[in-house]
Amino acid sequence: MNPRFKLGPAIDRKMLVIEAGCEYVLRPDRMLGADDVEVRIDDFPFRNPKEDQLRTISELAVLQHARIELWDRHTRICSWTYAETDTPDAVEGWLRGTLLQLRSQPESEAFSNDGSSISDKQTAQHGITRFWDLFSVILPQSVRERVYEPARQELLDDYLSVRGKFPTKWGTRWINFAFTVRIAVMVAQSLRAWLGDKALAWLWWLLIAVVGDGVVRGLRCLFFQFFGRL
Amino acid sequence: MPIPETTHLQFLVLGALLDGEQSGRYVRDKLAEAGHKKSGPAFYQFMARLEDMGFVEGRYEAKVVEGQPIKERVYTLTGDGVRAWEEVRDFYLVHSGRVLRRAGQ
Repeated sequence: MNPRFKLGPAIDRKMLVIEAGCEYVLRPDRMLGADDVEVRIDDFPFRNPKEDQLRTISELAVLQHARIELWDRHTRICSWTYAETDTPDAVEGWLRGTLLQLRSQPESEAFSNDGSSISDKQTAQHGITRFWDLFSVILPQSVRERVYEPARQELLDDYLSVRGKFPTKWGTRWINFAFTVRIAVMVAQSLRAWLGDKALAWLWWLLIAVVGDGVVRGLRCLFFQFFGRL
Repeated sequence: MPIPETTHLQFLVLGALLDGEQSGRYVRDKLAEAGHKKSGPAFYQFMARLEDMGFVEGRYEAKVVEGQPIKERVYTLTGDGVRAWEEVRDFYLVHSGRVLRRAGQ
């Protein structure tokens, strides 16, 4: 049986979170400035207990800040936001294709049965880790994306691993404090890396401007030849 | 044979990626094993530069730790990266061969 879609009036940006084996994740950069769409999918086994409908606006509001592009083929966790630059028809088509693909899998494979909701899992990240995001606003966007974010994800990996080992109240508090310090240090390191890079680039530019590109290349060759003889 | 533009550190990183796609953490550990420890931001800036040069390609891969989904930066060597690595390797093979022959005489 095909899922049915009912596109309603614009209500709010909504996030659909499904724990399933889908491979389609709408990229965040495609999510700007579109009309919101309410999608009702009948006869589809959402884990959401609210019949077959998505969560209400208030419940979805919790999810609005959740990270997108979550896709893990091992746990089959997938989330995305729709209501985007695409027209409702395009959204519907995309969603229909995705859901049809999901439906082709056995339900036992497509959905876990642990009873916990994805929103709980995601909001669990939002306490201290969202606070950490405040530190990074000092960085230029390019540095945040290229330098800070991959390092932050690595630190988050450490944080979650350590937190799992010490799940007590005081253990968690200490870990939160320690990792907050580490995040602050990491922001400082990002700034340093960025400024160092800028300074080096500026010095290199100055050298080339003063003595010329050919001279700099020649000096570089001489330098390597000299040390090559040692 | 011209002196390669690739630095020793870049050579090391490119070599670590020769076997296929690796996470940033893995590459950073390899650097640390070779005695070159870098902070996370410094390392990822270094990798971003390699990406700009077209030697590696980076992307995020989702990962779940303790039930929490996070992202991990993974890198793949490009064709240019392989060529740059081979260029440095050949350079040192040729020159070390000359030095050894001279030492043998």
